[in-house]
Formats: sequence, structure tokens, C-alpha cells
Amino acid sequence: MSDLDAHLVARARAGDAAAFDGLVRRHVRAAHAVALAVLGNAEDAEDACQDAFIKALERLDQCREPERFVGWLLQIVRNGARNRLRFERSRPTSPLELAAGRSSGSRPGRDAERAEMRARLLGGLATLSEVQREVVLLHDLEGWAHREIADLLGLAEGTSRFHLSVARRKLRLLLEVLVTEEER
Amino acid sequence: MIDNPVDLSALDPAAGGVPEELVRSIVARAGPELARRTDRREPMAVLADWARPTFAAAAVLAAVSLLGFSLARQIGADPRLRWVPEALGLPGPVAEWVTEGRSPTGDDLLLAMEGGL
Repeated sequence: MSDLDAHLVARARAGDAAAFDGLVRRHVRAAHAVALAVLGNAEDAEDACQDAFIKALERLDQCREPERFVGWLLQIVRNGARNRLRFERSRPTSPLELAAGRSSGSRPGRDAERAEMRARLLGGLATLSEVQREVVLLHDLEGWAHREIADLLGLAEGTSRFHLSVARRKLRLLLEVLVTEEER
Repeated sequence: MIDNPVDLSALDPAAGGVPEELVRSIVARAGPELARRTDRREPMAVLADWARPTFAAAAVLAAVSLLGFSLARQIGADPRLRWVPEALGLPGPVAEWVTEGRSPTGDDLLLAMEGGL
């Protein structure tokens, strides 16, 4: 719960662009992580993230608990991303293609290495359930506490810990297998 | 230890910071909706904006009028005190009511408020 969010929501409802910018800055990373957990593709996750913020702004008057804005927003992100996934299933994007497309070219060796790691991680995440992906991304990438994740997902804290443990184990195993295969 | 965090930094959209490009895109897309919201402010909010300074001015006017009324009674009783309102720096209309020894009417108050007291 955040009083700052409640304040920013009140101002954004009146059309205050700086307040909306503040809300975006505070929550864009978490929104991106949730979209990525659903879609498994960084580019689609960014698009879903943008759509969700715009939808949230359009429906801001329906946000009944502005101090819990982030939970409300991430629900919009999740629903939007799921709809996008259903729509996009006819033409799936390979994580590897995406990773290659993201290279800036300024540091080719390092970028290629990072792209490769991103592709591996996305491949690993694809083997997890959606809730496991969301937990591991929010915890290990965004630094959320289990209490916050549990609150967001409507889980017990212990369940969040369990999902994280399983997700890490699966990811680590898969990454090890991939590295071993590449070394052969 | 098997339960250490997995290094997911390769998936980080902005190396631990705010993904500025994404923020800019979102805020740019939000422009029309924000403008619409600014235009359609609720009547009560508009009224509140208008009412606050008006009530404040009315409160000051009421305080000054009460003081003036009190003075007026004393000045009415003693004409030698007619210089007091001017010396106190009372606004023109209020000084006039005091000197004349009368209470302001509703029209007087409205005229005084329109004239900025």
C-alpha cells in the first residue's frame, strides 16, 4: 500500500501529466516483468506494458483503492498480456530472433553474449508455469519481497517461496543442460 | 546453495534503472487521455477552486466588518473619533460604513467584494 500512489492517482485523474509520469516510472519495471512472465517475449511485453498503462489511465476512476494502485495495474497488465498471447498464438516469435534483433551493435561481442543469455533465460522461463515465472521475475529481477508478491497474486507467502524455489531449481537445471550441450 | 537467486539481469529492460524509452512512449500515448481529463474536470472540483478564495475573502470581509461595526458604535457615540477608520487603514467602503455609523447591507458587501474590498 502506498500513500504516494494514492496521491499520484488523484492528480492523474485530474489530468496531471507529471503525476501519471510518476506512476509509470514507479511501476513500469514490475509491469514489464509481469507481461514478460505471461508472454515470454520482451518486445511483446513492452507493447503489452504500454497498452496496460493506457488502459489503466482510461479506467483510473474505477481504481477503488488508489493506495493499492500497483496491484490493480498489474492485474490489467496480466489480463492484457493473456489476451495478447491468445491473439498472437498463430504467429509466435522465437526468443532467439527477438534477442538477435535487440543487439545495438555498439559492443558486438558483449551484446551477442547478452542476447544468448537472454534467449537461454527466456527458453528456461518457458518451461515454468505462469505463476512461477511471475514469482521468479518479481523476486529475482525486481527485488520484490514474498509478502508483496503474495499480496499481488493472492497467495500465501509460503506458496510464493515454494514457487520461487521450484522456479529457480528448474531454471538452473535447464541452464546447466544448455551450457553442457554447447560445450560438447 | 541451490536456492540462491538466478541471475536474470539479461532480461532487465534497463540495467536496473527505469526504461526511459518505454516510459516516454507510454507518456506520449497518454497525452490525449490526460488532456481529455483536464478538460472534463468535475463541476464540484471547479466550484471548489472558485469557492475557496471567495470564502476566504468573505471571511476577511466579515472580520473587518465586525471590527468596523464595533468601531461605528463607538464613533457614533463620539464624533471626535471620526479619524480612527482612516488611521487604522480600513478599506474605503468599510471606513465609509464606520464613519456613517451603519451596518453594511447585502448590496454593500457584494459591491465591496467586486471592487476587491
